[in-house]
Amino acid sequence: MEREFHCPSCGAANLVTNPGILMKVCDYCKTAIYWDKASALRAGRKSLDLPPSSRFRVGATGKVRGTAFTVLGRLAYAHESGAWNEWFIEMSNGEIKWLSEDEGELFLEEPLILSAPVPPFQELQPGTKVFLNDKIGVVEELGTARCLGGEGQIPFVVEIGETYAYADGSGVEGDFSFGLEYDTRTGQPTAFIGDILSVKDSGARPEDKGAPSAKTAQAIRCPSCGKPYEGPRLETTEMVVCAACGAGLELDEAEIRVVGKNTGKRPRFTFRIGTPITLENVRYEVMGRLFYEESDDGPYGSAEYVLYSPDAGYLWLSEEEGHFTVSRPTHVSFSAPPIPVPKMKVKVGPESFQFYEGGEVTLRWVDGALPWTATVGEKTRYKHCIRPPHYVDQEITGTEVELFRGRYVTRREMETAIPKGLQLPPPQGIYSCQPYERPGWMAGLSPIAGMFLVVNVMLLVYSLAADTGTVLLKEKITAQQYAQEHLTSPFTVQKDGTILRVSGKSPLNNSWLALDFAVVNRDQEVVSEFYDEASYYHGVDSEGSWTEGSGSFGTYFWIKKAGTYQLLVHATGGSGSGGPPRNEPVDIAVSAGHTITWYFWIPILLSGIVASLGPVHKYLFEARRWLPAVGDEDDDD
Amino acid sequence: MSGILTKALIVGVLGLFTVAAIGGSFRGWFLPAELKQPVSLKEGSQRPGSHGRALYFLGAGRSHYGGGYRGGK
Repeated sequence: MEREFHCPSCGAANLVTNPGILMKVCDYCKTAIYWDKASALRAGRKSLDLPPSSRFRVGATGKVRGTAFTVLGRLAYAHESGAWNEWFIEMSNGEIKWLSEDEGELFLEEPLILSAPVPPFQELQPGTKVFLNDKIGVVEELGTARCLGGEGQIPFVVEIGETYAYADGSGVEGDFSFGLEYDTRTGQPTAFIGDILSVKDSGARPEDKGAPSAKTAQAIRCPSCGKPYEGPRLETTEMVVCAACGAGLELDEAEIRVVGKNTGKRPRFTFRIGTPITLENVRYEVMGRLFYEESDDGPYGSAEYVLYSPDAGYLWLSEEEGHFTVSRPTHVSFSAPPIPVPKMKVKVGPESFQFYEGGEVTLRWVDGALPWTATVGEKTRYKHCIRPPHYVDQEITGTEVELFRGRYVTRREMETAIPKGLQLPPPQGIYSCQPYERPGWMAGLSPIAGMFLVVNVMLLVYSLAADTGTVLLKEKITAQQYAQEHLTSPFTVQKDGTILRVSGKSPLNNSWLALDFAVVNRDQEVVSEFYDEASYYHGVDSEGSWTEGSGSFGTYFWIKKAGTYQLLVHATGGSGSGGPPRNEPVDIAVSAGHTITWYFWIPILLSGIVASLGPVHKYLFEARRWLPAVGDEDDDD
Repeated sequence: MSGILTKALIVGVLGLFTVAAIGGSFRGWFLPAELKQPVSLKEGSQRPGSHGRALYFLGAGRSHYGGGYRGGK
C-alpha cells in the first residue's frame, strides 16, 4: 500500500511503499520525517550524506538465501571503533527485516519480543551469557552507538544523532546473531535476532549496486599534516592511515578524526598495500597492514594484512617468522578456562581444539585502509587454540571480544598466491598450527617396512620351528687325546648342503680352551676346518664375587655333500695369565637339522627402524611445535 | 625423483637383508666354506703322531687357530 506525502521541511513529495514504515528520510533534503500515533508528520534532524555502498542501495532488489527482497532504507551508526550500516529490506511476502553490515560481516535480523527480561547494560561484559527466550546468546561487543543518518524508509523511529548503549553477540554455537539496544532514557532493551550470513549468501543484483567500483572517489585530506590520502579505500573502510605522517584517520563521521599515529621505524612487511594475493581461487588485494608486538622472552612481532575482494569480502592474512595463516571472524562458543595450560582441550562450537598459548599483543604500526578503527598502542589479549592446520583465536580488545578461525597456508600455496618475483621470507621453526607433512621419500615407506617386518618375524618363527638339532655324535675327549689330535667316531650326514653344529662343554676353572676342528671324509681327507674356544674365570673383588665366560662352546659348520664324516679335534689350553693347562676333558656333540635363526633379527631390526621413521619424525615435529608453548609454561613455573 | 630413489634404495636394502637372512639361516651361506681342495690327513701330517695317527694341525706347525689354511678357500 503506497502512500505519498510531502516533506514538512522542504515540501518535496516522498513515497512510502510499506505499511510498517515509521520513518522516512526525505529523498531531497535528507530530513528525517516521523509518524506519530496520530499519523501526523514530524520533521527531525537532517541526515549526513552517507557514502554509497557497493553492496546495496535504496530501491535495489536482490536475494538472500534464495528469497527476493527490495531495499527500503538504511541507517548508519558509529561506535567507538568503527561504524556499521543497517539495511532495511522488504521480503517478497511484505515482511521487513534488516541486514546489518559490520566489518564486512552480514547479519539478517528481525525484532525479538523478549518473554523474560535480559540483564541491564551495566551488568553485561564480553562473554556474558544472555537468555533470549529459548536461546542462549554470548555477548561479543559492548559499546555506545550514535545514529549518523539514514536514507529511504525505516520501520521504526530513530532520532538522528541519538546515542544508545548496545550489546552484540551470537549464539553459543554461532548459529544466530543478536543485538540488544538500550533506550537512553528508560534503559529498556530492544532485542534483535537473526542469521549470520556469508558474503555470498546475500547481495543486490550487480546492476543495482550503488557504486560500480569498490573504491570510493571521495578525497581525504589528513587533518594532522594536511596531505591528501591516496591509498585504497572502500565504502566499508572505517580507518585509513596517512602515508605521509602515519596518523590514523577515522572516517566514520562527517569529519575525519585522527586516532593514533605510527612512530619509530616502519616494520618490515613482506607485502605492500595493493599487492594482489590469490587465495582459495579468489583474488584479494592488500588493503591494510598491522604490526603487533608481544613481549615474551623478548619482543617479537607478527604482521597482519587485511585483504579484500569485492566477491569474498575481507580476509585476514597473518605472517609470523616466515609462516602464513588466513582467518575470518567466526561466531561459535569458546570454552577456554580463565587460566588454560598448553595442550588442554578447548571446545570451539562442536569441535575440539587444543590450547596453545595466550598473551597480550600491542599494536605498533598500522597503515592502509581498515574496516575497523585500530589505534597504535592498543592492547589485545588473546587465546590461541589449534587443531592443525586450523586454529581459533579469541581476541579481547577493550570491550569487544572477537573470535577468528583460520588455517595455516603452506609455503607452496603462498608462492602460488603472490605475484611472481616476490620473495617470501624463509620460515623459522615450526608454527603452532603448521600441519605435519611427511617427507616425500618417507611417504608409504612405513607400510612397506611393516610388511618386511611381518615377513621376517614369520621367517624367524619358521626358522625356530625348523631348528630340530638331531644329535649325530656324542663323545668325551680327554686332554691327552685332544692335545695330540683326536679323530671322533664316524657320523652320517643324510642330505647335501646340511648345516651342522658342534657344541661342547668343559669343566673349566679359571682356565681356557682353544679348539681346532677338521671335518674328515670317508677318504681320510679334510674337507673343512674351523675353530672355537671357551674360557671361564671367576673370583672375588671389592665389589663381591664375579664370573666371566663359560665352559660351553658351539659353532655351526656346513657340509656340502651327504656322507659319513669324522671330526678331527685338537685343542690347547691354559690357566690364569699364561699359566699351565689344567687338562680338563671336553664333551662334544655334533648335531644336524639346524637353522641359524639370529640372521632374521637384522632385517627385523632394520624394517622396524624404517617402519618407525614416520612416527618418530612426526613425534619430533610435534615436540618442536609445542616447545615454545610448553617451554613458556615451564618458565612460568 | 630423489624421494623415489631413496625409497627404492631403502626397500632394496630391506629386501637384500631378508634374502641374506633366508640364505644364512636355511642354507648356511655365511658359514665357513669347505676347502677348495680336500687335504689328505696323511698329507697334512708332517711328523709322526702318537698311536700311529697323523697330526694334521700340529704337523703344519700350528698350535691352534691361526696360521692359515693349507687347502685354501
